[in-house]
Amino acid sequence: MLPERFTPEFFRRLELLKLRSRRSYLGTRQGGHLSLKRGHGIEFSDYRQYEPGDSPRHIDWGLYARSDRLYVKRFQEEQNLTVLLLLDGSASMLNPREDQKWECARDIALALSYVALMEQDAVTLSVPGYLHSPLYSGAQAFHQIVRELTNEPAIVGAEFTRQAQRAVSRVRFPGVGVFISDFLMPLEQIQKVLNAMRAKALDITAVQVLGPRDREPFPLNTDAIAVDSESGEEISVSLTAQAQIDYQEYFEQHMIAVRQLFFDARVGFCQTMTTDNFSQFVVQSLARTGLLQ
Amino acid sequence: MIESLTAIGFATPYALLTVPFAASVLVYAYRKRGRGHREVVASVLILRKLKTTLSARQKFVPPPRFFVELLLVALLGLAAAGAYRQAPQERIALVLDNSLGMAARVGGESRLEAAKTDLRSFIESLSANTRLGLFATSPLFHQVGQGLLTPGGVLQELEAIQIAYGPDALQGVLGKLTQDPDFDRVVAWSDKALDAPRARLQVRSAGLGKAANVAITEISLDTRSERSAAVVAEIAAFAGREVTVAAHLTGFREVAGTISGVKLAEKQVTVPASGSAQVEFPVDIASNLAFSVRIEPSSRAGDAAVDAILEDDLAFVAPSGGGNQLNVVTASPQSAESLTRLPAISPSFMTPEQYRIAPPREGTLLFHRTVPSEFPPVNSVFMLPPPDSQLGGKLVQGQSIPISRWQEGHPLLSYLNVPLLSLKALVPLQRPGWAEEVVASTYGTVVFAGEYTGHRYVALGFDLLPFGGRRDPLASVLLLNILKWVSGAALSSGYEIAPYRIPTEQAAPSQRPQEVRYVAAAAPQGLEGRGDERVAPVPGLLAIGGTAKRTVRAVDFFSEEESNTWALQTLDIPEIGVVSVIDERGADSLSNTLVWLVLVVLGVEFAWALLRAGAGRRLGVG
Repeated sequence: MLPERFTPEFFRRLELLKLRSRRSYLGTRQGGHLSLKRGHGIEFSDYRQYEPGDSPRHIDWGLYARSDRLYVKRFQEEQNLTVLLLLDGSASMLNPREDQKWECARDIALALSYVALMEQDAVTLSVPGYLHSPLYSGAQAFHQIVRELTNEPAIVGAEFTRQAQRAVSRVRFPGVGVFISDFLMPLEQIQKVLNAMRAKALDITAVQVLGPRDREPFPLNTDAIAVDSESGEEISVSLTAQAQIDYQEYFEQHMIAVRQLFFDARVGFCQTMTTDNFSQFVVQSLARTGLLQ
Repeated sequence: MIESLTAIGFATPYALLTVPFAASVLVYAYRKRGRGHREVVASVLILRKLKTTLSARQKFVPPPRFFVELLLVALLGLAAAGAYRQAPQERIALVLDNSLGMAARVGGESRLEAAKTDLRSFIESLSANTRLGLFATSPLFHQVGQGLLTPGGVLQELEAIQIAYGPDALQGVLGKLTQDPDFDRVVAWSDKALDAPRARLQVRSAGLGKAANVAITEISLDTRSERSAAVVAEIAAFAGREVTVAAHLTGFREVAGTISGVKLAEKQVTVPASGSAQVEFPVDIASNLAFSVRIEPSSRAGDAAVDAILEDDLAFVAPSGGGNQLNVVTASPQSAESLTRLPAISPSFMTPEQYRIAPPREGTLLFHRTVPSEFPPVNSVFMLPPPDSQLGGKLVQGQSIPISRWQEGHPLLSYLNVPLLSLKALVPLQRPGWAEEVVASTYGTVVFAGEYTGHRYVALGFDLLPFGGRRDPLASVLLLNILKWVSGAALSSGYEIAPYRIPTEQAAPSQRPQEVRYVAAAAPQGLEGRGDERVAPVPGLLAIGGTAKRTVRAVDFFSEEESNTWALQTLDIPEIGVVSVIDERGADSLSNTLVWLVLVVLGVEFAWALLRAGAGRRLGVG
């Protein structure tokens, strides 16, 4: 069942978008993206000297008139794009429940899937530790993806980083990789996932989904035991005004560090709060990162 | 509040030990669990960085719920211990005046018997939980029985209290007891009037009716010559009318080792109402060891009913009384020579050196401008001791220091310039209640006075010997008062004041002439023999020494205050404030109350938990 956010109006806006890659990849079939494959496209690539057997239609006659040499025009073929949607389904995305980070991330993935499938791109959906879908293509596959993501992920096994590395290793075709997470993890772990994705020559974009409780986990003057949703680690918290200020400071430092990490890695980065306007984020913010156009 | 707490008892007090144990477990549990509720957060990545900040606040600051649960533990512990509320235990001091005045008979029953009857009815009205201290006033103020008694214990001890010869000193005794925090209130039975009401004091009358009495108030032996002497007795009538009495003179002689009395003379004496009269018997002191005078109201109608106290109708006198000897120790007898001018005193003088060689063991010592090397074992007066005297080093340390003050406007001040006593090493003696009248004497100030090891001592910071001129009478009166008190007897003539202390070497073997009427009684508490002396508690004759060399001492008791049973005033009984409420129901279990308290606390905690749960949902407790 489609989430409520996916209204007909939203679908119409999504259909105006297409995924954009900063690099060209070899596609698996005909598509709407320039491919590394030279051939019969509409996008001029370069010249090469005429060889016997070449079609005379590809000879640049104007150049021949200027240089008295025969050159053949080469064109980039337009092929489809393979998209990996790496979706963080760890416990940190599911807690606190009212933040609905998982729902937001899931909807972003659905929206990107819809955009990709409408452009004949192939989509692989991966929720490390829970799901690694086959390569979906064709508009009708969207419903299959919706069914896949209807249920909450039940993560089992090792930690997210290891699971993510394993999921990325299963990618066979390079293309666009979208990493959707709250990134509330040590930078080393993010780096490991990024390295795995870069090893697959993916054009990576990171989308960070945060909830209000990530920024302010407790009200002021709260005495509580904070339990880590993933590791179960407990920390006694007495949130005074000063401690709250310190927390905000540490949180911002972490956000800056994450952003700097992606910047240094030439990875597109985009952040959203679950309370933000979802439609506006997908249509405008993701476009600003260059992921959509 | 504190009284109500101390009135709580426990059926099984050992169960209270579980309270600290349970409290410790509770504290441990809270420390283990930490503070506040558990809340699942996405990640503690950021909070971990705060940990150093938070760890500074790791000291145990329990939440309000902890105190609620601690209260529950305490209440359950109290309930397990079987807490109950005891009836407040009231502590009452019962003071029974057993001085001679209480022997007065009004309507056939003595005042002491009436007081005992009233005391019994008072005790019956008390709770069995009440604790009582029973005190008697004479001959010294002393406690009867061991410690605090139950009402039943007081009834048993009551019979032991009999009339005793001695001043009651009731005013000072009640003053002390009403200040004693060990007692909630003081109830006294006496025939004396008290000058002012005191808080916490109740005085119950012991026969308020006036009792006419006739008594011998003084006796002396006037020795004009060896062969010509006279026994002079002063008889006072404490009555509203003239009384005629018959005065009988008895002489005591020793025949074949036995002392027996022989009636010598009888005279009729008419004593005016509220007045006195003297009767004089010429006697031969060479053939008599001692004399006694007994008065007996005449058989005239009404006179017999006048004599309320029989004990003061008899007086003894002996020529060989030694207690009236005043030994003056001084380096310059000339300076004390004026003592000879005092009436009825025949002082003997000795130098300090003579005293050091042969110190007197009886009589009264007066040290004039000198002090002995050791504290003398006889009654003594230290008059103007040298400033560097070390005498006080022999005294008991750590006692109260009741130093009297000159009363402003005292007539003596207009005659004497009195410097304050300044003895560096002299420690004031403990002042018993009966010394109050001496220390606070209205005749003049004694710097300190008191009793130590059974003897009386007075120290004066000024020279009070008689001297010539107009000032003689005043000075003499003051000195006479001091000497009278410190010697325990009038120094005028041959008798001792009961209770009379006899040095052991004289008392053994001591015996009383069998013919002489005396009351056989053990020495009262506080007057028992103290190693080197015996005590004669009642009037009579004492044969001292062996048969070869035996002297006879006369012991009398004179107290106008005790004998005057006619001048009694109506007692003003003050209102008594309620000190504590006696719960006649006795112990009251608190278990029900504690259970209700626990239920209330549980209800409060439950409501509080509900509120917290609502807040928890708002916060999204995972």
